[in-house]
Amino acid sequence: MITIDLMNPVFRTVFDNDKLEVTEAMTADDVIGWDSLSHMILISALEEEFQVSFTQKEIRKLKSVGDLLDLINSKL
Amino acid sequence: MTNIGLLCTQSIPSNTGSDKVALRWIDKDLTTREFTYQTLDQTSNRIAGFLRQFPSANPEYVYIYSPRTPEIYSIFLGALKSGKVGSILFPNFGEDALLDRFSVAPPSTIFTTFPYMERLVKLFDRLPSLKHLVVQGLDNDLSDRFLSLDKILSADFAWESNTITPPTQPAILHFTSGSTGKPKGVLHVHGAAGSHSQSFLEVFQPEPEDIYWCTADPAWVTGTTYGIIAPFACGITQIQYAGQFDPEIWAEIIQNQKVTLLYTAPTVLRMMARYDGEIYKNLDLSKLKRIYSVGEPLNPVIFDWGERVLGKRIYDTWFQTETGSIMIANRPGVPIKTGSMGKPLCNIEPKILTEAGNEAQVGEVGRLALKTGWPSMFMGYVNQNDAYQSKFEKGYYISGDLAKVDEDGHYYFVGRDDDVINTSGHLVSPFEVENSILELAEVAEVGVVGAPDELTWEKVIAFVTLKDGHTWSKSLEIKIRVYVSNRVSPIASPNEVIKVESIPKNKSGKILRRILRNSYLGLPLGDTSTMEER
Repeated sequence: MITIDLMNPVFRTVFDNDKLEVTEAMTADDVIGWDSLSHMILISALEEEFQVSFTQKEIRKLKSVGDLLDLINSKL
Repeated sequence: MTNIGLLCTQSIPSNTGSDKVALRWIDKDLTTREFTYQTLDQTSNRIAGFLRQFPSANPEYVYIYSPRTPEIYSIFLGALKSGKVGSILFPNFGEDALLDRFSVAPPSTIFTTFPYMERLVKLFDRLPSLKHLVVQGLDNDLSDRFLSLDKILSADFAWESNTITPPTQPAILHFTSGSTGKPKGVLHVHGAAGSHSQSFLEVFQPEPEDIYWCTADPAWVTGTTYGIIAPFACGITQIQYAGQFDPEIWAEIIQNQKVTLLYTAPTVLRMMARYDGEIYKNLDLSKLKRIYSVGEPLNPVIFDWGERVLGKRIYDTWFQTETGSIMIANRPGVPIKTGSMGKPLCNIEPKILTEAGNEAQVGEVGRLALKTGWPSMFMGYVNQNDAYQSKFEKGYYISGDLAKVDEDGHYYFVGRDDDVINTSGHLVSPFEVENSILELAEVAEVGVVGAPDELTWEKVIAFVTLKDGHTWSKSLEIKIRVYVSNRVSPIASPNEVIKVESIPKNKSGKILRRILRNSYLGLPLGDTSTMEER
């Protein structure tokens, strides 16, 4: 089981923002640079960090950081 | 009237009026706000009045670095009204990409939004030309350099057009990537508006009641020419959406906003086609008359999908940053051949040239060239006259694209004549990506190429060798992708990073990209006689 705190460093690296503090309610609109292209890089980084793998269908359904957290935890 | 800012806000056709909606803005939550031509005129006047307080003998570059907001339109047109050169930057540009562009054309003023300000503040010491950073979301000015956009838009910066803008005066700055060197600043003049409007009328054939949507980011030449200038100059109502691409939301917008003319990219259409089925079944697209595409070739299969699933014809168009407006297009009244980018517009004279500079035979692949002289032809690359001159041969602009023409005069795009990568309609310089990757301590050598991709036309592939003491891992691959995304832009970030033992080079050290590309595609490597021995 991972927590939001463990995801935060990945977000900080991918979006080049040392001050970023993600919350479960956050969406792409809340993070500078989180667009469809950087989203795929984020997904790869999370897959590597937590040693999980997402399907395209799963990725398409994601709407928030909380969704990502739930998806990762469902695979651990 | 040749000033583009004035043309877009004050020359509304006589059958409309200044209370006509110029822009219907759709926020991410799908709420809408409307801006009339009169509002657009007033707000852009305030921007022009503010900027005109700081006259300069030399061309001054006013940048917009911001996510999509409705204010972008007033700022851009206000900058042009004031006589400054306006340039809109992609909001996903990283530090290196910004500095590369600012070093070409130093900014005098940058308009941004509060969160994006942080990225620019980091660069402050390296931008001595910068007089003002104008920030949306600041209630008050923080200093003489940090100003509040909200204050400027609510202040009374009286401004009236009291000078005549020569058609040859620089107006718009775009950046384009080459296969070598840093991005080039492509300058267009106010007189380009003639081509913008004329091509819009000829290709889109709008009627006064049309609702038009150009989905391109305003930082892209398509977003500037056909997402700002042409529709406003022609008095059309356009919509713009603040959010990112989502096939279901976009389909809903087209239906609910009663969009009649849609201009988008083949990548978007290919992504929509992947959702084939449910989301289009109950959609009412009866108002949508035509779809247009630009950026990469439109595959025949997507053309067919448009007719079969949407019941709409998709008209492909071709132009470049340097041409400023559409040169070749499919359009109503001109027979369509699937796979062709269409026929030249009125007064545009393309030619297919052989390597020797002779006219190619019908059906023979050659270099696509255009007879010079159309109004929106670029006037130069900022401070790179040699590069500018190298784009012309015997009165023809050499586009860098390879194409062929058939016996009926239909043109077909074949590929690039250089190493520039076209991914989702954006040109990516392999040189820029390589420079960025080389900054990483682990990487010894790198070579970047484009490879065909079903969705984005081409994808970015990076080949790397590592310095002694470093080992290859998935983490390092992701580190490279993230690094390029942050320093250059996500669009330039490699889709794949491949670790190799050596990067093939010729005897003078030039990367042999053909060999990298062919090895990736599993094709014969071809002539390797010039390859450096290792």
